[in-house]
Amino acid sequence: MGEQKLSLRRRLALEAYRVMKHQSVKEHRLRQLFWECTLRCNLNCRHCGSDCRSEATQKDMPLEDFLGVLDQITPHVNPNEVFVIISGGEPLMRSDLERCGRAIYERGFPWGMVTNGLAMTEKRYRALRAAGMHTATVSLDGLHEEHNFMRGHARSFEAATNAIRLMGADKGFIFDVVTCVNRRNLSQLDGIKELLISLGVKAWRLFTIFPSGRAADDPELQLSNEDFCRLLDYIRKNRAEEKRIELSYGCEGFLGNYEGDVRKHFFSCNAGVSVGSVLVDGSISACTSIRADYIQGNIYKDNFWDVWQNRFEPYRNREWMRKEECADCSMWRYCEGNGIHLRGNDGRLMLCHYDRLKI
Amino acid sequence: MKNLINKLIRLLCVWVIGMLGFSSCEEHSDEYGTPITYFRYWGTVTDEAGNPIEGINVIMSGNILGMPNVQLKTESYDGEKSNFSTGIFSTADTHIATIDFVDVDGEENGGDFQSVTITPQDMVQESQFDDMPATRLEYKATIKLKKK
Ligand code: SF4
Ligand code: SF4
Repeated sequence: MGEQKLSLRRRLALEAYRVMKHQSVKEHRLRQLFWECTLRCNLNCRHCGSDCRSEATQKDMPLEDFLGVLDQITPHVNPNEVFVIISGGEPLMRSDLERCGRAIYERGFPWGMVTNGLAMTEKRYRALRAAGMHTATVSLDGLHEEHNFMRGHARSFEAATNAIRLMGADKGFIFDVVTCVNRRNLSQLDGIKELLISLGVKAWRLFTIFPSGRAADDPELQLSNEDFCRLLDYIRKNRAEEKRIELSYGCEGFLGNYEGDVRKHFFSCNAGVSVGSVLVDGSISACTSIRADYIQGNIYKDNFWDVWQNRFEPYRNREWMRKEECADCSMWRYCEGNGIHLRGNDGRLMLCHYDRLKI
Repeated sequence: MKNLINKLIRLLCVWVIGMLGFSSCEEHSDEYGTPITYFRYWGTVTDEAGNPIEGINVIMSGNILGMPNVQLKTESYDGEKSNFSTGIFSTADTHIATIDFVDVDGEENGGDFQSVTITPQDMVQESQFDDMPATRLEYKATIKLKKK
């Protein structure tokens, strides 16, 4: 277990945040709805935690099936306040993406997507904007060679930066870039930052390798505990001093004395609390990064809204996670067992971020 | 009542967190997935002499590129104090929202007023939370309605 003692100031703020967090759990207002619209992908990333393949055996979900879900939700929410995030696979693999976006938007739901940018062209970008695309997240994992190495494609850097440039030049379009920090690109962070600023990026999210999927056993990708702290120091320093771009660490992991300094908010895993998803086979889950079986229903059998209101117990009461290393952890109050995507099928914790801070 | 108490507790927590030097806003944006922005538009609506008027609807709409104008929200405002406040999550582009002020009760409550439409560009950007553009933006306007 990490030994860092929390400062009193941080502890008091964490206590206040905890009250807010528990209120959010009680209310469980659906705020973000992921739609895993396809598992097809045009890249073969080293760190991919998803099940995608270039030739996915699972067919794309027909748009009408997802619209059925939105129609179940609509009477109970203000659609303008529920954000649909189209993810995959790679959403741009769908030739009907513009039609999907427009239909979602016509129902009043704002939408955005997570993309690798490879298939983005200016024409497509304009069409997606005209279909009501409100925001996007583009992945960029390094300068040229390192990005292409991670993505396994010689043109992926050029394509991703082109997509970012299009978005950066589109005044008022809010988007961000995510970078998976690993051993190869850790020393390039300043270079990546300057590149992003020159492309018009205002928000940059950094995360580390997901200990499952293809990356689990790749030593080149895993940061040592020292490097992990170096990364957090880098984010903290930039958040305090850099005014041209905002850096933040991804949503996972309770980070001890870094809490409040490396993200806009303190740690909380909002899966099943404000985040829900419809996976490509119709499964109803929370974040799409949860690969283990925490599925709560299926849209082909259940009404999404009923499931959202009445199930999701493992997400909203995390006591079941209070075992093994978490059982006697003094940070349980604030962490509650880390993000659900870090739990395997057997419920065991795959990674404790707080523990990584002990060097 | 319960909702009000919860809201007060929440505001108190936000205040405590802020006083301790950390950033927090009441509606916290999730950091998984794509970025979300919250826009809040607020201000006052009066007649030309500055008197509060009742029976005005505040309608926010979005017009995104080729899309038809979509009505996002209707807020009737607090006529007695002449304050209005309306907000929306995640409108990516503040320059495309319009806000209409429409008299819905004809001659009642001080007369029949002409409708007014404004955009965020007509408003004053008051504050920006979390010190970067991608989180929470507030715009303020003072509206004086003319009689028809
Ligand atoms: S994951 Fe478990 S052990 Fe690690 S900080 Fe959180 S509660 Fe403690
Ligand atoms: S499951 Fe993981 S990715 Fe999803 S909100 Fe929780 S910590 Fe974040």
